[in-house]
Amino acid sequence: MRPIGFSTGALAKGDYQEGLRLQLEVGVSAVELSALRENEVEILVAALSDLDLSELQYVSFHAPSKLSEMSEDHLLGCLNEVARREIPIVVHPDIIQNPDTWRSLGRWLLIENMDQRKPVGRTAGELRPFFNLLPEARFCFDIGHARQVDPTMGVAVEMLIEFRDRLAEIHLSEVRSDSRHVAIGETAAAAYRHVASLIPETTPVILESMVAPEQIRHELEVAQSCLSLCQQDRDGHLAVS
Amino acid sequence: MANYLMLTDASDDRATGEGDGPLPFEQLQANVGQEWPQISAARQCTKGVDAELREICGPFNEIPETGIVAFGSLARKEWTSGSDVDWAFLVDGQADPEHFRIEDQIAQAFSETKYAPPGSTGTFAAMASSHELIHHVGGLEDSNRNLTRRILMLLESTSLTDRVVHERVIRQILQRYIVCDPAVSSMEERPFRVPRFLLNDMVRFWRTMAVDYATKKWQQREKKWVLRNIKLRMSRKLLFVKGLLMCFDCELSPPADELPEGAEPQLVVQTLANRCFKLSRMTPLDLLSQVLSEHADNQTAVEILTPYDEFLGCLHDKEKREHLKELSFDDAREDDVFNELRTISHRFQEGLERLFFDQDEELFRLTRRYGVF
Repeated sequence: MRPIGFSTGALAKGDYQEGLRLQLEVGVSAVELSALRENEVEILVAALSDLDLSELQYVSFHAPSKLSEMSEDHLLGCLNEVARREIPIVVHPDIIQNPDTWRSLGRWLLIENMDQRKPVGRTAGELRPFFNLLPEARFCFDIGHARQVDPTMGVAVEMLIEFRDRLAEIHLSEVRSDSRHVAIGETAAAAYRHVASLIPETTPVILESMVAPEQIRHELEVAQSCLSLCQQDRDGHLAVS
Repeated sequence: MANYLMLTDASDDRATGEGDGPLPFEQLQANVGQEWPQISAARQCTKGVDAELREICGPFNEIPETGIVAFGSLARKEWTSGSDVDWAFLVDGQADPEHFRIEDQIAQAFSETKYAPPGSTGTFAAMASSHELIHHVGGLEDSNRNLTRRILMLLESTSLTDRVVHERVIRQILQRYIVCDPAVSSMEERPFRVPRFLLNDMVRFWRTMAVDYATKKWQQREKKWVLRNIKLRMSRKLLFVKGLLMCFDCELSPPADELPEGAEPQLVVQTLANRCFKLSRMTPLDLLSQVLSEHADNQTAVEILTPYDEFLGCLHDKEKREHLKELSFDDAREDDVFNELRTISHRFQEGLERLFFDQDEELFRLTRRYGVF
């Protein structure tokens, strides 16, 4: 079954422990540890050895989305420690200023496609130069970002075809026009089903929907239905793996 | 240190001409071993004007869910000394009364440039809503203005601000034509086929331009009729050529190898729409050059592009252009400049007939199958 779980940031922002606790309670099989703000990175990296992640099939780490105080080199020093533990690291392409230095992360570097606000990384054409410069890097496909950039899902299809051999993780949520990640609605779910066959059944899925704790289970069910990988039970509920 | 803003891909920028590799027109020149200097000069000139206008539009980049789109010779990369700037303020999101004020500010910014403003029909230099462009295809709501804007979005448009809104609207228009209008017959039989809905609207637009030419000649008492006449025979006809080739390309060069084996029909159709999107981002001359390289001999390329080159040369010649502006219908028959351009347009027509009917069996089949009935 496909590993699936939440980003700790979506459930509890910078409080990774709470974000982890909330979803381990419902028995997820994947987690993304989020350090979206630069002041969260060192704390989270230092805590990695103390976290009990043994029940999970898949764990990834989300690097900061913006660097203001921290240098690129300093961030890479922290991320190399994450890569050493063989944890995939999701990175927004717009923080990559010096691609040469990012090669040290090898295949543990996952480059994510961006939402419409960012000037790069939104389409296959805009991602291609990054992958050309970082040939070992893999692809984190944010399906919500792709739909916000192009509701026809044409951009999504292009990325899934061009980077299919690099695909390592899916980010799933609905992304509104103001770029906020919210619970997946019916229209978004229909669009996601449109491209589901291009996503291998083993690719881990990380939900970024910002939902309340009591909505976690339901959102996992909706997510599974988007990717058409599970059966409905007799009551019409979808089984969470 | 590399700046991420520099990390744009050449092939994705072929539409704007910012990529490093040769574009199909330049490639064709090299293949044929002939230069078309007026076309090259116009393409070079476009780069400068485009950069200047992008800078002017810079302050409008931050307005969410909007973009400024240019049409006409700028988008075709055929800028000559008499070109004007046809633009629209494209809104693809929540309606906001503030957009009206922004439209004024954009008009003001363009009026401060040295370039001529667009005509007074209201098709350009105005706000355009994606809702009308995407939803009003055919039917009573599809006005002449809406049809013009929609088809020109596909055939000759370029973004002067961040391209995300512009490209999103183009993809959604193509979705209406291609994905929302699936063929009745089985997808397994022939998955990549000429999209008839799109083709019909391309033909409708071409015939509308021809009819509107006669209407304007009548209503405006022959004012500027010569320039309209010549443009109809050359640059407007070239637009129709691009529209035809976009549709025919679905069968001429099917993107079959892009999909995994056994892909679902909806993905096949989506791939077709994606293919059309890529073609729509090419200039008419680049798409024509690509087809000439792949489906015609060098002589045909020369027969088509040489008269087009001469046509652009005449448009760029201020003296000739001013002369044509003032020329009356009665005097035209004896006028040397007009007759020179008429002859050019006849040669262009003959070259196109040779391409579509005499060069390539498959292209001829498509022209006969879809071009008339």
